[in-house]
Amino acid sequence: MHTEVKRILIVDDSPKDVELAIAALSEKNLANEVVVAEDGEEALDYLYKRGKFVNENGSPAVILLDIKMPKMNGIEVLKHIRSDPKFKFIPVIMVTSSLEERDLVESYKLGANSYVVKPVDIIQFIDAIKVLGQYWAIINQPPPERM
Amino acid sequence: MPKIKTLVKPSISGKSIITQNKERRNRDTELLIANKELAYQNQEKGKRAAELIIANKELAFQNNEKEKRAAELIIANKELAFQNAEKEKRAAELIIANEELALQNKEKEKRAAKLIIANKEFALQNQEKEKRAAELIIANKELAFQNVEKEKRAAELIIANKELAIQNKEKGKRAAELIIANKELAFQNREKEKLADELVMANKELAFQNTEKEKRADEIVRANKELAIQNEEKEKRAAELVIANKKLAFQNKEKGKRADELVKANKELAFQNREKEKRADELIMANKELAFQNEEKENRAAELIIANKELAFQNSEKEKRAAEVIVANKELAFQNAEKEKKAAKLIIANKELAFQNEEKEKRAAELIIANKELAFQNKEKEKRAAELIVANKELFFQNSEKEKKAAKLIIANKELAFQNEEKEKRAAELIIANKELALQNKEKERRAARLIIANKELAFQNAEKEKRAAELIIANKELAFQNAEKEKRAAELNIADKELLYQNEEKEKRAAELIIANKELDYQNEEKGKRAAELTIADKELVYQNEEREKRADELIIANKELVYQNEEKEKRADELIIANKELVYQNEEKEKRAAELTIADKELVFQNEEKQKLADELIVTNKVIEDLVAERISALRESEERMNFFIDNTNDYAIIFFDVNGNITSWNSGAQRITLYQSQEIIGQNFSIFFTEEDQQSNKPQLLLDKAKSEEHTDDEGWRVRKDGSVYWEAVTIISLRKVDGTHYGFVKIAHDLSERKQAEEEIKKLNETLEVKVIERTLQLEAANKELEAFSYSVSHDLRAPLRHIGGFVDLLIKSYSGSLDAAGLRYLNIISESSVEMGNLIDALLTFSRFSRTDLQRTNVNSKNMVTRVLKTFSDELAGKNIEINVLELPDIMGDESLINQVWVNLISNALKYSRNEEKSTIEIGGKIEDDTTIFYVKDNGVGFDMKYADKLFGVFQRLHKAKDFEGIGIGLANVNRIVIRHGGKCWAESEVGKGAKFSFSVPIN
Repeated sequence: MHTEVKRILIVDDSPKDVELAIAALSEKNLANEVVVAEDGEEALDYLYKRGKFVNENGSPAVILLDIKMPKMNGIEVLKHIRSDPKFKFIPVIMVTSSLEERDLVESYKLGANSYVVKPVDIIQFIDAIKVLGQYWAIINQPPPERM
Repeated sequence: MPKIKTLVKPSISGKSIITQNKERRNRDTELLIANKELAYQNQEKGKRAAELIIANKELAFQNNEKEKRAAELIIANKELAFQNAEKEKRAAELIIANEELALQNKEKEKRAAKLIIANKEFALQNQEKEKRAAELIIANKELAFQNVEKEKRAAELIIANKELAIQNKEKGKRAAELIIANKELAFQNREKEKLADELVMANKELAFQNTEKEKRADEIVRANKELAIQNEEKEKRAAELVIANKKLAFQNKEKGKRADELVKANKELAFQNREKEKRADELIMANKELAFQNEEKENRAAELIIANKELAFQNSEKEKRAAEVIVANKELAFQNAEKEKKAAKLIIANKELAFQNEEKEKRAAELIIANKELAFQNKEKEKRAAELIVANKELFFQNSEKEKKAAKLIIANKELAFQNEEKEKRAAELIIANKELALQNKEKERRAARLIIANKELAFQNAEKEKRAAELIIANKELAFQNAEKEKRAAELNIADKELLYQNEEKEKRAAELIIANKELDYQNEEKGKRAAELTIADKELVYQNEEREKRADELIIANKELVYQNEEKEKRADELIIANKELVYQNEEKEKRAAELTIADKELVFQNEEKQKLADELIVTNKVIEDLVAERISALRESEERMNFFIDNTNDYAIIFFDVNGNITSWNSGAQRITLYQSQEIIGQNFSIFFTEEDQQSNKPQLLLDKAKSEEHTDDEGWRVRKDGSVYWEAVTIISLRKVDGTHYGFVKIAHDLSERKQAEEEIKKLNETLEVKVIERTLQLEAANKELEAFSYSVSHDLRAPLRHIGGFVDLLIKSYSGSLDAAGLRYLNIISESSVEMGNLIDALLTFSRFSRTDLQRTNVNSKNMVTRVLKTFSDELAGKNIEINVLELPDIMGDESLINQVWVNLISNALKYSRNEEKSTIEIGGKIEDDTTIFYVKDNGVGFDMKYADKLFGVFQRLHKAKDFEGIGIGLANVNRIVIRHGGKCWAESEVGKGAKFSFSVPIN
């Protein structure tokens, strides 16, 4: 038995959006558990514990996945996650700038658990992130004590 | 004669005559001898003169030819001058040495004078001493006498005296030695005199040599002048040679250029021949002879190339030789100029030499004088030495007499000895100085010898130069001869070249056509290459642009305004496209109209044809009737025939042609003549197949028509026919079988109409339709491309434009949330305004995107149950409706075919509007209904709200157009624009009716198809 730290993995190339997301999460007291990947490739690096995450001891409980990113976009990352049996059941919330029907359709087709449009208003965003809290509650795994 | 005999006086005796004769003979012999000697001397002089002349000539000749040697002479002279300068220095040193010697001699004289005075004083002292000695003798005798007892003491004194005597004897020896030394000094002085004499002689010889040198220098000057003249002539000749050589070089260059041009031409020819070979290879099967000719041409061209290369090589060789000759001549000219300069310098150097020699002579004379003075001084010294000897003898005598007193003299003698030693040293120094002088003289002799050797070498070098000059002249002559030979060859080659040129020109002409063809090919290839390069560049640019687009994505914030502008532009373009499409539709309608008109015309034509056919049918009937009547009523027949002919002849628009059973023409009317352009006399008897095209004739169409007409009594056809002048026309034709009364078939009549114009119109329509289709396809593609761009653009806007907005809004919210305590009311208000504005802008962007999405999403038409849909929509408003006084009447709503989600949007918008604008009424009344009118379903939503002024009705459906203030009724003015867009996409239209304060009725239609 190995005990992995459960994390909320935010995959977003915009540091400002990441900050807003963390601000929203802090409303739900979830900010401490956040790990940030700056693009799709880093997200996979985190999942497979390679690259700059080679010494990482955590694993994501929920993934907040931006769609429009350089190199590998969110849809491609989602495809990877869902095709690997190890990560198949990790809840993935697609977070995107606007409601684009084809993205939405494609995301659900690939097995996204939720699709959230980043609102301009942070209050709305906090509301939107409620869904994340729900997933968190379902997993209901208290963070292990720090070393 | 006898008188003379008589006049001879025998006054002179025979003896005296004999004596006189003898004397005369003697004088004669002496004269003869003298004359012989004179003659001999003259001969000698002549020989010497001849030798001198020869020598002078040799000298002149040598000098003429040997200017370089003169340069060496100058160098030698410079060395001489340097040596002379050295000699001068040494002479100056000698003078200084002599002056020192003279100074020393003066000092010696002074000392000698002092010695004489000292000796006189001595002598005086000695006299006094003698007096005192005499007094002493007397005193001694008195003393001896007195001091008998003191004999012992006297004896001791004697012994002392004896010792003194011994010492004096020794002094005598020393004096003798001094005498011998003085004699040796005298001898040395004599030797010095001899050396001085020899120096004088040497100087005289030197002076003589210098004068000789001066003479030679003068001769050299003259010779140099002659040389200069000759050099000028040579320079002139050299200049002429240079000019001649330049001409030669220019001619050779010209030849070289021509040869080069020939080579180039031949290379081009060779290249062209290669090209021809290639083509010949392609044409080998067809053009074997051509290939053979080309091969021959190639051979000739190759030979020509070789010949030309040889020519070019020879020309280049000639050029090189000419250039070398020019260089050689320039060098000669340069050497001549250098020789002239050197000669001039030589003259100056010689003058300087002469001057120096004069100076040396003067110095030598001065030296001689100095030496004489020295000799004189030496003699004086000898005399003084002799006097000293005498003095010494006297002294010796006095000393021997006065041994006791002499002791005091010893000191004086020692001083004398010391002085003599000094003199000896001085004499030795003089000897050394004289030796140095002798050494210097010897060195001068050696230098003179070296100069002689240098002159001999110069003479030898001049002879060598003469030989070289002669060889150069011979070489130049040979060169000139070779050039002449080469010129001849060049002339022959020129003729050959001209022949070659002529042949080449002919070949060039042949080649030129090929070149033009090749150039065209090349040009086309280049064009293709350019296009390929442009495509490659375009591809690279595309790649680059793609990369740039990624970058631009980050720069989009700045580019947003431009994007909005572009969006507007695209909308404009879309509008323009719509207009263009409308125009196209209009054009299509126009064309359709034209087509319809043409169709009508066609129908009319058909109708006319039918009419004519009817006429023809009637004619046939008439004909039959006529035939029937032939037998019975011949007169009536004629009348009828005339009538028919009249009818036929006057039917100008129709060709009416009769032919027999085989199709041979028997008669025709003027219409036929007008249409076919044949004259009746040339067409009668011809087969009617003459009007058909070759293709039709080959497919046996004429006969098939006849067969058909025969079997079916008549047949119709349309098709292209050929006129006499070869032009074609579109013929609509009816061929009718002609039968006699008894039914026997005897021929046909053909009634044809020229429908070329109609045919052309039809083809034009066809073409127009085709181009129209192409245009429609093009426009469709353009529209599709524009739509795709629009889609990409709005996708980009939805993401990239929203991101910064979100950041503004998000961080302002965070600011308000976390730092509101640090802000006053105004600051907080501002932040709230920013927050609200960002939310507002987000909504606007969303609305725009939604609107654009309605425009571009594909319609998914299904059957839409309108009643159910409206009910569902009303349910979504149930929260808003709760607790309000609202009456909603949903009347009959027909089902339609449409996109469910889009139509749903229409209902949502219209119903929400109705609720919004009627909410201020005491009781909102909303009525929703629909009906089918013709092939259209019309729906409406009616409310009792604020309504609007109808004059703004056209603005209602525009994007972001509002007729109410935001504070009265929220909203951004996109709802009706969306409704309008969706309805238009379904092929319907929207409209509204209202009156301010009396509610509004919004309607939309959807076509049933």
